[in-house]
Amino acid sequence: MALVRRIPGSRSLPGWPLAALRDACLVAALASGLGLAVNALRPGGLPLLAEKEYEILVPCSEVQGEADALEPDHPALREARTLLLDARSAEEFQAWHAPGATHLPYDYLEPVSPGALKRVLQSGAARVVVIGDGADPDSGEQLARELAGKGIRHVGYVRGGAAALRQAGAAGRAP
Amino acid sequence: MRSGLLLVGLAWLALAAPARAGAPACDALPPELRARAVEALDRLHPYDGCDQTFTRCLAETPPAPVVLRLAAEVCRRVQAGQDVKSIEHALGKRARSVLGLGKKASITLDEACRAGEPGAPVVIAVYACARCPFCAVLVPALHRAVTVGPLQGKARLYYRPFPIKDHPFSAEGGLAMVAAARLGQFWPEVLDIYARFAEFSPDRLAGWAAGLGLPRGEFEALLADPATRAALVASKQEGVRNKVKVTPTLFLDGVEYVHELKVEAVIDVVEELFERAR
Repeated sequence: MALVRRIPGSRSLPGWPLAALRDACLVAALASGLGLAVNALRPGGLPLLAEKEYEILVPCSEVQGEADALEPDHPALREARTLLLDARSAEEFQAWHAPGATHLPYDYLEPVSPGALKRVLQSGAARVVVIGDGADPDSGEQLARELAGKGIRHVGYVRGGAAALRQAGAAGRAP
Repeated sequence: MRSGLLLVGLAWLALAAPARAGAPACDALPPELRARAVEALDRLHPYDGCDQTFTRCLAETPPAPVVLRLAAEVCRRVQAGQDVKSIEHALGKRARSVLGLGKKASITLDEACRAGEPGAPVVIAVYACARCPFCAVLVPALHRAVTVGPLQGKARLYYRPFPIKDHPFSAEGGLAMVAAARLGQFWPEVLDIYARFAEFSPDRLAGWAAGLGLPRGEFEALLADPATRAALVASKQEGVRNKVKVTPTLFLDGVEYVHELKVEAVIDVVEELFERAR
C-alpha cells in the first residue's frame, strides 16, 4: 500500500521519494536534537553513555499455571474425553492405578520431556486430570501446574491423590 | 503584607525541615529533597517503636532505635525519587518481613550448610538455585555479610537448594552442592559454583571440586548416589511446602522476607531483627 497518494491527474514528481526521505530525516534530527537539549538542561538527566554496566536481576521462577483441584468422585474423572495421568513412581503405578490412567511420573528436578508433552497435546483430550501421591507437596498438583504452565488447558488434579481416589472407589473409567 | 507573611512562612519551613528530619540519612538529603522527606515523615507511621507519625516519634528523647532505622529508610527512598505512597508500600512489606503475622515456615537447618557463627541469634535461610543469576549475586554477598561483614555474630545463613527446572543443569549444580555438603565442604563449593557462573558445565564440576581439595573419586560417587538426589529432592519439596515460587527466597527467623532483594536492604532488616532479639 502506497504511503503517499498521488492526486489523480497531477503530474508525477520523480523526486518525491527523496523529498519525503529528506523530510523524515529532518524531523528525526530535530526531534533528537530537542530530546538531547531537554535531557542536557533538566536536572538529573540521563547519561549518554552508561557509567557502569547495568545489572538486571530478577528472581527466577518455574513456569507454572493454574490447576483445578478435583474431588475423587468428580464426574470428569469418568468422562471419555478426560486424559488421566498418574504422576507417581513406577512402583506405585504398578501396585495400583486407575483404569485407563497413563503413567507420567513427576520429577521435582527435571522438566516434563518434550515428547511426553507432545503426547498429552496430541491426545485430543478435553481435560487432563493428574493423579499424584497425595503427599505434601502432592506430585499430582505439581505436575498439573507444570503442564498448565506449558500451555495445556483445562488441567486439574485429584485432591488427596491416588489413595483418595482408590478409597472413594472412583477408579476412573475402563481402559 | 500577605506576600511578606508567605515569605516568612517559607523561610521557616526551609530552616525547620533539616531539623525535623532527625535521622542521618535525612540530614544528608539535598535541600530540594528535604521538603519531600518532611512530607513523608509527617504522613507515615513506623510499624513499631512508637504509635505516632515519624515526625512526632523522632521528636521523642531519645527516639526509639527502630524509629531512627525506619526514618532512615524513608529518607533513602525519598533520595531514590520515590513518592509517599511507594514508600508506604515498601514499609508495609518490610513490616511483613519483620513481624511475620502468619505461621512460621518449617525449615531444615542443616549445620553442614551453615555460614556464620553458630550462636548468632538471627537465622537467615535462603532457597536458591545453582543456575539462578540473581542467586549468584545475592548468596555470596550474604555469605560475606555473615562471615566477615556487618552481620558477623548477628546472623547465621543456611542454604537450601531449590533447583529451578527451567534452568539448564540446575539439578546437576544442586547435586554438586549436596555432594560437597556430605564431604564437609559445602560453602567453598557453593561460592565456587557461583564465581564460575558464566563458565558452568556439568562435566567441569568434578575438576572444580578437586581444585577445592575435595577427593574427586568420592565426589563423583556422591554425585551419582541416589541418597544425594533424595536429599536435593527433599530440599525442593520443603521449599514447595513453604510456598517458595522463585529463587532467591529468603526467610528470616522463619518468616518469609518480602521486602527489597538488595543485600543492603536485607542487612538492614536483619540488623533490626538482631536489635529486637537483644
